[in-house]
Amino acid sequence: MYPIHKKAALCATLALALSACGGSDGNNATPAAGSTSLQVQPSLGQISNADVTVKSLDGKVIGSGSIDASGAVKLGLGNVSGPLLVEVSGKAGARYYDEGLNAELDFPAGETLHALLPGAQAQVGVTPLTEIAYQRLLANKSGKLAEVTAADIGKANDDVRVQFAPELKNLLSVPKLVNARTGAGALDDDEAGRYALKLAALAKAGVQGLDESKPELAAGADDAKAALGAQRPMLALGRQLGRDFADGQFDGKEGSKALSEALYNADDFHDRIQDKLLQAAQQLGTARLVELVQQGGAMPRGNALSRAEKGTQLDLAILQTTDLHTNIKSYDYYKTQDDITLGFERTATLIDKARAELPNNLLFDNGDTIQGTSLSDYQALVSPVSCNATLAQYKVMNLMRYDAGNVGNHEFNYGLPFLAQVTGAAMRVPGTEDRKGCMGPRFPLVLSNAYAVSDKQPLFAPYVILNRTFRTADGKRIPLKVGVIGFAPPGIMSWDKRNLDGKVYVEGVKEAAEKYVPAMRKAGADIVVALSHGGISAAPYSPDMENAVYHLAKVPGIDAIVSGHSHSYFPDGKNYAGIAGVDNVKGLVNGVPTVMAGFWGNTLGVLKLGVTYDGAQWKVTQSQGELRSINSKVGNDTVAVAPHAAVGKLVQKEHEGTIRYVSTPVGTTEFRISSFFSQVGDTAAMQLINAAQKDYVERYVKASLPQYANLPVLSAAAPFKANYRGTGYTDIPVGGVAIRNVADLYLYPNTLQAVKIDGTALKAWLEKAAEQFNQISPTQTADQQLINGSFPSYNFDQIDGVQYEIDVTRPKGSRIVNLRWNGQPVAAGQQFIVATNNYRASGGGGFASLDGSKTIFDAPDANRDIIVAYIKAQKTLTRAAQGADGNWHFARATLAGRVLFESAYDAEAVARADGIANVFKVEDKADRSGSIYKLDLSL
Amino acid sequence: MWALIRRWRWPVMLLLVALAAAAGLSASASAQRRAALAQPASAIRQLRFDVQAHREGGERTLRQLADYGHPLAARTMAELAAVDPTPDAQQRALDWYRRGARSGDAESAYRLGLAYLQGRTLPGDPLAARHWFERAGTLPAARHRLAMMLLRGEGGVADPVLGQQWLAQAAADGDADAMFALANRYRDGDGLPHDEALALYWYQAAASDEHPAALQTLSLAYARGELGLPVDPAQAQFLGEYAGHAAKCHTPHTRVALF
Repeated sequence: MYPIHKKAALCATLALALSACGGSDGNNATPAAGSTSLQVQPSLGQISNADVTVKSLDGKVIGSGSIDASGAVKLGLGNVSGPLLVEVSGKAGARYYDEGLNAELDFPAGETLHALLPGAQAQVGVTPLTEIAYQRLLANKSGKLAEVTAADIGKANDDVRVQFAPELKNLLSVPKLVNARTGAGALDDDEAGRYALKLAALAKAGVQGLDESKPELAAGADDAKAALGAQRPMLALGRQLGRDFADGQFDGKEGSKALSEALYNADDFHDRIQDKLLQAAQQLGTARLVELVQQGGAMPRGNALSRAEKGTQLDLAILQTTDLHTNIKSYDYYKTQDDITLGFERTATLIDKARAELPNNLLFDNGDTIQGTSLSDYQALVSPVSCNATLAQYKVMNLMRYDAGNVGNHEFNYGLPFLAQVTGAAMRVPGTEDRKGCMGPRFPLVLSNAYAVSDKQPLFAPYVILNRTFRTADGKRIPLKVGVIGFAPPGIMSWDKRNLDGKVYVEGVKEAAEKYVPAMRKAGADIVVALSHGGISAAPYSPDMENAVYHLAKVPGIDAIVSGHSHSYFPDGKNYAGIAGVDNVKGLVNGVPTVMAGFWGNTLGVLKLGVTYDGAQWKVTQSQGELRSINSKVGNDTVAVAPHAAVGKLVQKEHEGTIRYVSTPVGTTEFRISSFFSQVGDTAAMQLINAAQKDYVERYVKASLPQYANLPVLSAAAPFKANYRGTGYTDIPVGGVAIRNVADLYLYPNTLQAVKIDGTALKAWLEKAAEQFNQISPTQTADQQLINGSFPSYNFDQIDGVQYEIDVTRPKGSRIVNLRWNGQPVAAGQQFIVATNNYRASGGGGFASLDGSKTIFDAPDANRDIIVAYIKAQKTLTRAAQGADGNWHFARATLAGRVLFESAYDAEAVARADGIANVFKVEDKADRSGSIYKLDLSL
Repeated sequence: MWALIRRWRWPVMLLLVALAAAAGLSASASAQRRAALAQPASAIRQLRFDVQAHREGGERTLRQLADYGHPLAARTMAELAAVDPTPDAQQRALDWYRRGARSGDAESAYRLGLAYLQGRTLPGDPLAARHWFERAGTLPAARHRLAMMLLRGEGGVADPVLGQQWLAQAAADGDADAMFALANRYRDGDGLPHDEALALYWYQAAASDEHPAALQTLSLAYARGELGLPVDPAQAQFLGEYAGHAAKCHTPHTRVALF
C-alpha cells in the first residue's frame, strides 16, 4: 500500500551513509560532510518571529537566530558533527498560521517545537510530527537526551513517519509553508506539498477535536475563531499524540492510562485525518494532490485493518436528512411557540439512536439546508453571521458529525457571497473574494452540475471519496472508499437568476453523472452514493428536468441515491406508487436503493445496504429503505421524540436572537389594535391590513401596470382570529408593534395577490362574505344570534376603498346595499383592482369568479411582511391616519327583539374606540372567558 | 427562328438563371426551415442552458430556430424572458408565446390564453382567451381554464355540462388548479351535488401537488374540524406552514402525496 515507506525505511537505516537517497527537492536526510549551515523551516502553518536554537545533545548551543518573514532561518553550525537538537521557541510577538481556523494565532513563550537530527544537514523541517519523535525519545531515555544516538533518532523519526505520515520520505523534510495568502493549488504532490497537507489536516483535526471535547468554547462566543484559537488546538493535539505514541502504541492511551480530554479517538483517527486531508487538498492542493488523498495515499496508519476478500460482507446504513430549511429548534418564530412537527433538534435524537443501532453508518444531508425560517433570515439579513462564526445550521450539523452534504436550490437564495462565506468555499466568483477562510461546515459539500463562469469548473467539489473503516459481522475492520456526488435542480438558473446570471451555469443531472461517476470509480470509489436534490419522476428525461432521480438511477455505477426537494417520502408504500421501475416498499428506483426523507427535520431516512466484495469489486447485495419520523400519533394526540439537548444548547443564542428579532418593535401604535369586534363593524385591525396592502399594490401598479393606473385600488381583509374554539383574538396594545404582533394579526403565511374585477364581482364578493350572518327577523321578539357559528371568520372579507351597508334582515345574496365608490353607486361594469391574498384570489373559500383568472399581480412578498414593511415606513400608527374609517356598517332596521353575539370580556369601550357605536354589553359570561353583546340596528 | 433565339438568348438565359437561383434559394430556405423544425427537444433544452450560460451564439441559434417556427424554441425564448418581472420582458415573453402558439405549441397557447384571460400584459380579451385555450388541445391546465370559462359563460356561450366534463377531465389528468376548483364545487354544492367526502378527496389531491390554497384549506379544516376532519392542531400547523412555503417558494415542486 505504501511503496514509498519501504524506500524511506532503507534511507533511515542508511542515514549515516554519504549516498543520497534521492528526493527531487533535495530534502534528504543524509548529512553532507563538512556542511556548515542549517536552514531551519518550521511549520504548524507558517511560523513567524519565533526563536530557533540548534544544540548538540549535551545541551551546548551551536547556533541561534530568529525566524524571518520567509518563515525560515539559516544558521551557521561551524564544524559540527553528531546528532543535533533543533528548538523552535515561542515568545511575545511570535505567531503561526492555523489551517484549521484559517487564522493567525499566537505562538507564545512556553510553546516549543523540537526536531532531532541524526547529524548535520542542509535543511530541516520542524513540525508537530518531529516533536512527537522528540517526545518519544525523551520518554524512552527517561529524559537523558545525551544518551540518544543517531540510530535512535533515525528510528524514532521513522517510526513516527510510518505511523502518522507514511506518504513522506523523511520526517525531517521541509514542508511547504502555508499562510493566509496561500491560494488554491499551492500544494502539489511532492514531498513539501504532502508534508504541508498533512500539517494542514492535523490543524483541522485539532480544531474539530477541541470543538467536540469542549463545545461550550465556541458555542457562546461571537468570535468562535478567537475562542478556539486561544487554546492553540494544533499544538494541544500534537502534545496528546506525543504522549500517546511515547510507548510506540497509538491507542489513545499514555501507557495504559487513557488520555483525558482527548482531542481525538485513536480508532477513527485514520478516517478523521482522511476527511481533513481531503478538505485541505481541495482548499490548497492541486488536482494530483486531491487524487492522492482520494486514493487513500496519505493517511496515518489505520489500526488493525484487514483486507477485503471474496465474500466479505458489510452491513452499512446511510442515514440522511433533506430539506431541513434551517428548522433547528422545534419552534414557530411567527407564533413564538413550540412546534413539534419539525426541528433538527429532534432528528438529532433519531440520528444518535440509529448510530447506536447501526455502527457502520454514514450521515448525509441533501441540501435546502441554510434557508427557510426566521432564524435563517436573522443570520443572513438581520444580524449577519460573521466570518469567524459558524452558521447555526452548520454548527449543529458539525456537532452531529455529518460525513458529507449536498447543495440544493435554496442555498442560493441569499446570494453567492453569503453562500461562499458560510460554506467556507473558495468560489472563484466575482464578489466573493473577501469571503475566504471563514468558519463553515467541517464536512465536505459536493455539487457536480453547477459551474463557475469564470473558470468553467464546478462551484463546489463535484464529488469526494471518503475513506472509511467498517466492521464485518465477525469484527474485522475493513477499509472502504465511499464516493459521494451531489446534484442540484437546473431550475436554479431561473429561480435564482438574479443571484446567478453571468456567474454560474448548470448542466443536466444525468449529464453530470455520466461525466463524474466514471471518474469516481477510476479514483478508487468502492461504492458511489448520489445526493440528488430532486425528486422521482418518470416523465421523459430532459437536461433541465427538476426531478431527475428516476433517470439518474439509470446511470451505471451508482449504488444508492439520497433524494429530496419534493418534500415527500420514499419508500412509504404510498407515494410514487404505480410507476414502472419504482418499488415504493423496498425503496428501489430502477433497481437503485433510494430514500427520500421528508423535510424540516420531520424524518430521518435510513437506507440499509448490504455490500459484498466479489473479489474484484463491492456490490450491493441487499437493501431496505426506512423512514423514521420524529413524531407519531397516540390516539388524537401528536407526540414527538425528546429533543437533543446539546443541539438546542448550541444554538441557544441564535434562537433567542431570532425571538428578539421577531419581538422587537418595527413601529409603534398610538391606539389599541384588536379583532374583538372585527366581525361586527369596521375596525382598525382590518384597516391596517388593508392600508398596507393597498399601498403596496398602488406602487406596483404605478411601476408595472401603468395601463391600469387610473383604476381604483381597493383592499380586502378578514379577521383571522375571532376566538374560534377559544383560540383568542388579536389584541395589540398601545406601544411597540413587532413582527410577532403582525403575525398574530395576519395569522396565515399567504402571499399578496391583486385581482381586477368588475362591480358585479365586487358585490358578489361582499355578498359571499355577508353570509357570515344569520338572517335576522325584524318581528321576532326572542333573542337572535347575529353570527352563524359555522361560518369561518377568515371568510368575512371587508373591502376598504368602497362604502357599503350589510342588511342582515335580507336573505343571503342580497344583503349588500348602497355599494358606492367615491360617493357614487358602483356600476356593474366598473373596473376595480382589489388587493388580497393567494388563497382568496385562487378560489379559497369559494368566492364566485375568483379562481386565479382575475389575478393581475402575484407578489413575491407575504402579506405579513408587507404589513411589517408598511408599519416600518409609517413609524407611528395614529387613529387619524390608520384608524377605522367606518366605510361599512349594518343597514339600519327596527327590530322587535335583540340581536346578540359573543366577544371578548367586557370590551364595549374597545368598540367605542374603534368608532363602533351600536354594540352594547348585555352580560359577562360566568367564567369571564368573554361577554355577550347586543347589536342595535336602529343606530 | 434561330435569329429570334439568338437575339434573345442572353435575356432568356439570365431569366433562366434567375429562376433557377430563386428556386434554389427557396429550396434551400425550406431545407433550412425543415432542418430547424427537425431539431429535437433535447437540442432546444441544451440551447436553453447555453443561453443561461451566455455561451457564444446560444441565443442567436435559439432565436433563429424560434423564427423558423420551432414550437419548443419559441416557448423556450418566452420562458427565458418571462423570468424577469419587468413589463418589457413580460411583453417579449408574450410575443414569443404567441409565436409558439401559432407554431402549434400547446403550452404556449395556454400561456397566451392566460394572458388574455388575466389582462395583465395585454388588455383582457375573453374571446381570445377561449380561442387560445381551445387551441391548446388536451393540455390539462388549458382544459381547466376553458372549463371555468364555459361554466361562467365568459368569452362565449355558457355550457355548464361541457364545462363540468372538462373540469373533471383536467383534474383527472393532474391539473392541481382543476382539482382545487372541483373540490370547491363539491364543497359548496355549486353546479354539483354537495359532497364533503369528494371535496376532501380533491382538496387532498391538489394538496399533494403542493397547491397552496388546497394546503391552506386543509390546514384550516384541521384547525376547525371542517370537511368531516377531526380537529388536529398539529396537522393544521404543519399544513399551514407548508401552504406558506408553497406560496412563497413560487417554484412548483411536483407530487408530494401527503395523504
